[in-house]
Amino acid sequence: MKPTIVLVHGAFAESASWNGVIGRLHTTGHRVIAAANPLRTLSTDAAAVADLLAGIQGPIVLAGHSYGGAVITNAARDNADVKALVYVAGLAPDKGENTPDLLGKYPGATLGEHLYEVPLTDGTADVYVHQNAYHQHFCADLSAEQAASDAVTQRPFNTAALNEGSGEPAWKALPSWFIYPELDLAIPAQTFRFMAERAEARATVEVPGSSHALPASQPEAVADFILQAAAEI
Amino acid sequence: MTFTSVLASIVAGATVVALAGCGGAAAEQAPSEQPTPADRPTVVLVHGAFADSSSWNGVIADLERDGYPVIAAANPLRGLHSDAEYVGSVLDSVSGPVVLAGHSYGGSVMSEAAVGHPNVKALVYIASFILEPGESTSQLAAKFPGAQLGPALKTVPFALPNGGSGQDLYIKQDQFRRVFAADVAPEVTELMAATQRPITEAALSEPATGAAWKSIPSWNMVTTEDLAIPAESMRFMGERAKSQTVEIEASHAVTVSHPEAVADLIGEAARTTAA
Repeated sequence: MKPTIVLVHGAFAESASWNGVIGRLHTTGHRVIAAANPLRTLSTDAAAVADLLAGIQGPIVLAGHSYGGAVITNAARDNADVKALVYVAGLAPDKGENTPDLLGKYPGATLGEHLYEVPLTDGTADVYVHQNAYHQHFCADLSAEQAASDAVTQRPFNTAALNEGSGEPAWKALPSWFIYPELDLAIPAQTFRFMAERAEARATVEVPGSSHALPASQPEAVADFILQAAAEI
Repeated sequence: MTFTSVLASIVAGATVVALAGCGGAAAEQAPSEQPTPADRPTVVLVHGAFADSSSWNGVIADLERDGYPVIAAANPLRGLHSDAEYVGSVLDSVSGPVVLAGHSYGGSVMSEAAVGHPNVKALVYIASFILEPGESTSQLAAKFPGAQLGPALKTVPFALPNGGSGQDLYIKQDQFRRVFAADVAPEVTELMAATQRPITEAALSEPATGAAWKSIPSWNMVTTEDLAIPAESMRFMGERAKSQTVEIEASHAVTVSHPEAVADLIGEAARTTAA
C-alpha cells in the first residue's frame, strides 16, 4: 500500500502553497491531503492535524513547511501509522523550544521587520506580512504575479502560536528528512542545518538560490524529496 | 533587528510599525494605511467552505489590475458567530471604505461580520447565502431541491477543548469535481480537492444573528449549474434582500471558473456605492 502523503502548510501561506508539489505527487499515484493548519496555537494546531491523521488508513508520510514543521513535530507523536517526517524549510523544535527560540538562533532573517498585527476580540492578535514586502522577504524567487496573489491570500498566524513550547518531538522516534533553501530570509539556512543534524536526519538537501517559499518555487525538488522518503520507509 | 526580537516584541504587546520606526527601517504600513486611489475602496474577500483564499486568485488578479487594494480573509470555518467576529476584526484593520464579497458560506459570515461596520459600503454575494436572523446555512441549502453536496461529504471527528467532540466536513476527493466544480479543469479540481479547508458541521447549522444586507446595498451572483446551493434558493434570498441579481451559467466554484465575471460584479458594486 502506497503511503498517504499529508502536507502541512506554514504561516503566511495556505495549502495552495503546495499545489505544484501535489500535482507531481499525484502523477505517482499517491493519495495526498493538504491539512488546513489553523495557525492558532502550537498544541491546538498539532491536535487538529493529529485528528486528520487518525482518520487515514495505512502508512503516512507527513511533511511540514516552515511553522508547519513544528506542527508535524507534535502531531505525529501518538500515531503509529506515521512512518516519515519531511521538513520542507520546516522548523523542528526540541521539547520546550518555541518558534522565537529557533528563529533567533542564527542571524540573517529579515522577514520579522516586515510584519504587522491585527488585534482580535479575544485579546490576541494575528500577525501578517506587509503585502508590499512579501515578495522580497518571503518568496523572492516567485514571479511578481504569484507573489502578489500569495500576499493577498496569506493566512496570518496568531501571537499565541509563537511562544508555546514544543512537546516531546516526534523526530526523536521517527526518521526525518530535511530540505531547505539556501537564501531563506524567514529562517536562516544555518538554523535548518542545526535542526537536521540534531534530528539525525536520514537525508539533508540544500536548494541553491531558493527562497523560503520552497514548495511553491521548487515543487519538483520538494516532491522528489518527499517521494525519496516515501520509498525508504 | 532580528525576527526574534520583533516576535518577542509582538508578544510583549508592542506594535511592529513602531519598532520598525525605532530601528530606522523604512516604516511600512498595514495595507489599509497605504495611500490608495481616492475612488477605490478596499475589497475584502471571504472564502467559503471546502476552499481557501486561493479560490479568489483569478478575481484578485483582476481587481489589482483595476487598482483595488485587496485582502482575502482567512475564514476559520469553525462557527458562524466566531467566524463573523474574526472577519469583523479584519474589517476593523481597514481604514476607508470597504466592499465585502463572500463566496458560499463566506456570505453567511459576512452578513453578520458587517453589522456595526459603517465603512462597509457594499455586500457582494457570490454563489452564496443571504440569511435572515434565525436561519442557518444548511437550512437554506435544503430549502429548495437540487443540492447534491450532502451525500458527497465525509466527516472527520475532532476533539473540542471542552472535552466534547465536533465533526469536520470534507468533500470526498473523488466527488469534488462533480458536486463542487464541474466547469473547472480536472487538473485544477484535483488540487482544490486536496487543499480544501474543512468546515465544522456546527458552523453550517448555527443560526444567523445579524443581517447587514438589511441596511447595506447588496449584489447577488446566482450560479445556475450549482449542485451545492440550488439556484432557486439563491434567487429566493436575493429577492428577499432586494439585491441586484445577475445569473451566470456556472458551477458553485464560479470564482475559479469565471473570475472575470466575479471581479466585474465587485467592480460594479464598488463604483455604484462610491461616495
